[in-house]
Amino acid sequence: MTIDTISESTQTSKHVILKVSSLSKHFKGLKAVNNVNLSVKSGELIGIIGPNGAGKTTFFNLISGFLKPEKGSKIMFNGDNIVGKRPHKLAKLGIARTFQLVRPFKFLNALENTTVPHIPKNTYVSSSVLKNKATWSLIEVDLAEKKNYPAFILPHGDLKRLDFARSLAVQPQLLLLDEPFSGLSHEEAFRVERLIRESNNKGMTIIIVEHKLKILMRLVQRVFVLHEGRLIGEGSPQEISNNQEVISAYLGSEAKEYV
Amino acid sequence: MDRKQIAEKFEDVWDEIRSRSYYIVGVLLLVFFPFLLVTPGSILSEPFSILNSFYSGGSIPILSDLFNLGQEIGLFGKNAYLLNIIALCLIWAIFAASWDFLSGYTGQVSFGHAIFWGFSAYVTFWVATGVPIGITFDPLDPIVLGIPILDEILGSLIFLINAFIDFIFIITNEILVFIFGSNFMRPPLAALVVGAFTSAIFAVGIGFIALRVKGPYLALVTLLLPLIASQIVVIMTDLFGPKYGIPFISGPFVVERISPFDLPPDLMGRASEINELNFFIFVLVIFFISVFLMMLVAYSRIGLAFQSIREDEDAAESLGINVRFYKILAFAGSAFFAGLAGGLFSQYLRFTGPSFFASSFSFSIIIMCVIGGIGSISGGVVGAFVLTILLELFLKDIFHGVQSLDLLGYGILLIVTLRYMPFGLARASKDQKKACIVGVLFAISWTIIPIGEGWGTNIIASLSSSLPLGTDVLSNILSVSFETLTSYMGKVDYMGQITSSLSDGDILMTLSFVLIFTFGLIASVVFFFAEIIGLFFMGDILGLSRSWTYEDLIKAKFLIYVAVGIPFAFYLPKAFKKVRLRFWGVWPSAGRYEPD
Ligand SMILES: Nc1ncnc2c1ncn2[C@@H]1O[C@H](COP(=O)(O)OP(=O)(O)O)[C@@H](O)[C@H]1O
Ligand SMILES: [Mg+2]
Repeated sequence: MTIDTISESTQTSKHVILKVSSLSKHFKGLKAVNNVNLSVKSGELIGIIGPNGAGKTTFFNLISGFLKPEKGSKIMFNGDNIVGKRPHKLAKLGIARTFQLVRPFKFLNALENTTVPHIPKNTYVSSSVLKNKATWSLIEVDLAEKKNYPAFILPHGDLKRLDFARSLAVQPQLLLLDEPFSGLSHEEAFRVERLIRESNNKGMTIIIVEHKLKILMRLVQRVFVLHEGRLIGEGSPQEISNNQEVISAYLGSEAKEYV
Repeated sequence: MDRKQIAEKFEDVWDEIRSRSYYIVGVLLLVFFPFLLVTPGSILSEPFSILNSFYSGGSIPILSDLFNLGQEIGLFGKNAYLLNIIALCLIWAIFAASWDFLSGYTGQVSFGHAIFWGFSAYVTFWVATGVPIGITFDPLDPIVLGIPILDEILGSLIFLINAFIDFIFIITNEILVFIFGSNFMRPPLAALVVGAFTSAIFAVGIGFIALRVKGPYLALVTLLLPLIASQIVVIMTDLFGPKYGIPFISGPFVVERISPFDLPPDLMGRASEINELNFFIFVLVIFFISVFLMMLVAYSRIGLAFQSIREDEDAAESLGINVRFYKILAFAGSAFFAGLAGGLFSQYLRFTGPSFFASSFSFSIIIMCVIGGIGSISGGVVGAFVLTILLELFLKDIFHGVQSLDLLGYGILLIVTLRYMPFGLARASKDQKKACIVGVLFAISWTIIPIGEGWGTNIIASLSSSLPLGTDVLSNILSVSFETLTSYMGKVDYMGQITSSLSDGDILMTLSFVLIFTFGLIASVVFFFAEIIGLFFMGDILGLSRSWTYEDLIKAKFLIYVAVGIPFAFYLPKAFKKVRLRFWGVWPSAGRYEPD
């Protein structure tokens, strides 16, 4: 229901949902993110690529409130500066994320895992309704039949989808996915890809960090390239695979194959 | 930390509180409304309040009748001893469950839960016995600095502080008298609730510390807190004298307040026992209410949020869970119930002292929770019952006057539990649970049944005269079993069925004897361990037999039977299955599918 309302509001007006200006993060001299400026429009499907250690995860941590950027950085979400806000506040405002390595609540079962994100918004909702909502979240990712399994016995592919279901349950406007395809088989990756497309079609803005370029390039509309903390390239997948700097830093000689 | 951050932190908490305002007001009304009703001078106080029966005596007649009956058949033991033990179990159960509420559910491992328990014990006692008021400034004890001028300065400084504290106490007392009525001495239940609430508020402060430190560092901080608290109490006494130091406070407390004034005449002589009963009921009610409340929270969505924090704090926060708020909530809730338990314990002992902050209290409840099963409120309750009964009913009697038995016994049990059922009794496998129950029943049957038959007394006789034990016991077994056999034969005779062929009864009897002997043969291994090795070892080698009474011996026997009986009950079916598969194939399993 709420996803529909989001899509209504976003599809009619393609406003800038995320605007980052002079964003930096230093770890004791290491410039993990170095003066990045970018903006994302509502409803876009964005990819971020770059070699390991380029600062992609750090970038996500900054936006979702897990790290505090350096002074002078600005992160505007729907026109408000969200620097310094705590992650749970940002989740309520509409930013959800997944982690690079799956982080399920191991000793809770799948249903409880998807119930947790529903808790903050449903203080006065009866528990049966809460349970229904959580079950729907599981149905969305085809995990309903495993709802009573504790997370620690689920295989990696299921856990990836469980993570995805949890962050969808936050009902975000902006979803940050950190390597959603890593460690997945071809079949499982295809499933996740379909889920991402569906969510995007409903109007959700999604940013994906991924190393599996074949999938990423056919999925996203625009790509940002990070290298040693700096933004070295930006554009459609075609443009990026022709960008000489990006090729030398990351893509290598097989750049054309990905598009 | 700048101003903005602090403001935001409070904003977080305030947001959560505001979105639950209806619940909070409801709960507050639920808790405080009864007290308003019974405030002195209130119109409703006398006839309407159920709590009144707790306050001003007037025990419910049926209960005292029941008690009378129970006492006559020896249900509560001498001087309501058993009643006291169960009350103690209940208090420990509340305390252990409160630890589980915090550490089992939220994962904020506290190694110093005794701080809440001790803190509340002091507050409770204070509230119940009244704030010490007196404007007579005692001349200070000589201060040992050696330099007269400094001594004088320090003396007048402390004099000033004393006067200041007195002033604050007087003001506080006036305010409290204004709120509560003529005297600030409150009945036990009110004192308990005030103590628990104060403890919860105190825990909010500790919760803010806990936000800063995580994992092992939090454990270290919480470990140190009660030690600091107990030192503060001692130092306070050294500085300000016993008036404000209150290292030990004791006095009339439970008995005067809960006791019925108009006992039935036939119970007049046993007022103290009736008080035990009253106290027991008091504890029981509080136990049920607090465990119910803890379960209510733990099994609700709040409990789920707690668990998500335990599993993965970052993931929980990224999903919108306000981690800081829930952590502080867990601290406050846990401290509230720990405070209830502490207040009850101080009522049970009728004193409060720095020893309430001892770390053995903190460790005991952790061990209870681990043995019972962490992360399920019921686990703490089970663990508390098992360990308290083990300590109070058995170990303390068997090893008279041996110090620190509790941690030794608990520790051994903890290691065994962690090895064989790492998730505690509450989450043990079905076979293990069955084995525990069967083992205990087995021990009961072997220890209790022969008591009147001459076995036990003979063993004691042999122990006390330190005759060679083994032969005596064996001859006893033989004689008793022959006696039993012949007595059954006699019964057959008595029925007058003198026939040459076997009757149905004979066949049944023979079969049952065959069964009994078969199992008896297997059980003789256990018997050998428990009776001969165990008692011989404990009785003669350890040299403890001198101070043992008859009951202690039975208790020792029981413990040994449990210790041997549980593994026996666990492995017997497995061994039987192996033998069966070897000699009969699958036949006796009658078609059940048994993998492995
Ligand atoms: N918490 C941290 N403390 C110190 N250094 C960090 C921290 N997080 C990341 N880094 C460093 O920042 C750089 C960027 O890391 P990251 O964002 O994880 O890269 P990636 O693009 O592979 O996700 C790396 O060199 C990493 O070592
Ligand atoms: Mg990364």
